Amino acid sequence: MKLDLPVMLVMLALAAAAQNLLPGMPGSPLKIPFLTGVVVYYALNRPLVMALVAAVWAGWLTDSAGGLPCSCTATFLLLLALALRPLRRLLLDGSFAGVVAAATVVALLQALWQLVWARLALPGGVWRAAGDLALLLPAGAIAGAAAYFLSHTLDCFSGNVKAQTEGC
Amino acid sequence: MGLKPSKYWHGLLALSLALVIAGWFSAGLLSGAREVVYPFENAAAWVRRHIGAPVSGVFNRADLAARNRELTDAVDRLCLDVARLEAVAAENRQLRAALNFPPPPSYRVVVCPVLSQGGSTGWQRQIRVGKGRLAGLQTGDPVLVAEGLAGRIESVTPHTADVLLLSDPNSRIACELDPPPAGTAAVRGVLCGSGGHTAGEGELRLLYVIDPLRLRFLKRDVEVAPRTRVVTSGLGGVFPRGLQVGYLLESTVDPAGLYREALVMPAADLDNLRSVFVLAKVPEARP
Repeated sequence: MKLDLPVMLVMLALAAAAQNLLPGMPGSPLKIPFLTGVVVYYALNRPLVMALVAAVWAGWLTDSAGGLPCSCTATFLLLLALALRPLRRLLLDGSFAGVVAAATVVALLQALWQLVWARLALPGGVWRAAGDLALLLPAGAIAGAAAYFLSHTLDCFSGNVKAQTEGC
Repeated sequence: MGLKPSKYWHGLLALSLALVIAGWFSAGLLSGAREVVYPFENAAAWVRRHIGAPVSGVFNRADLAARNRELTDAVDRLCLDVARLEAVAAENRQLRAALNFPPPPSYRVVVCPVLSQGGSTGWQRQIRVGKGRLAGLQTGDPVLVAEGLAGRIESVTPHTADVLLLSDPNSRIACELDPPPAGTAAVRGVLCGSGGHTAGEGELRLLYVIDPLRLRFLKRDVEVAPRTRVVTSGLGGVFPRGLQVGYLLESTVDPAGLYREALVMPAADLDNLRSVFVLAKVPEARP
């Protein structure tokens, strides 16, 4: 029996809980974008249709957790999943390093998208916001690493990915 | 990579895309999504409160006993204060009646647990509390902690409410100095959130700088003393008058030379809110 959907639901629930409940990076109020990390993993490692579903749900979870307009992040993650698809080879076929590298850049892009879409005031001025955005780079890397490790492990255990060909 | 997805994935995708498109045109969908997420947020808050706190209490039993004694003393003192204030309130009611003053708006205090802080991104200084429209909360209701004002309710669903904190860059509150400087009846201004966050003890101060709030549009020629209390002025009708907001640090004339601007440290610790009190308006009784 295929367990794609249960694994995705577990991953999204864990990522949403971690993103909402854990504090942000030291020195910055911005949260670690675990949900984005999960979408990056799905975009680079699973079929496109699953990546798009994960993107929409992760986006809705992000938007519903507060402060953002309806469909703001969902739209970004949907476009992201589509954009990452052609870059799979460049990103080492969705390996650990590829997911971490992509999540690092995507975390920054997502924050900029949210700032512009929601027309949020820059917290503490331009320089403070620039500092916060810079701290999003390591935050994205952490999110990507955690998402890859957990999702890949769950996918391997549940048999969603083939053991020999996909490095389980 | 992966096995071929079955047909139900395409159905799920179609449904999800329809939700995204609907979300572009209807903000009300977000309220529904918040209600779906609410049980999980509430469960996490419950675990934190009922399991996390007792577990940490096991390791701090000596502290708990001392804290218990402090709280017992505080309750005794507050009981005395309440008894004294009841007499003052009765006198106030009589005088208002004698002068034909309308009664002040009455509020009901609703205790709300904090479910999450900063939303899912952290861009906004806001918290989500675990009570909403069903508990009588409305948009604009003031949110307090024991030390003073924390913010106001920005949006409500049946079970949750999002609170915009004082420190959010979009927060604007009509305030005044208490007491006003000598020779002036009142010095009023608009308190603006700076988006900063107060640093807690032991945090990395180099990166985590304290950002006070800004009280703008004060009278230019008034010299205000540091440590003066800042309270809500009641203008605009959103907040009742006299709620403590913070303490003035310093003031300077703005670059244009028209007004004075002051830095204000919030009285409430806005980064460590566990539960808050919402002043919910009580509907006026019909004559």
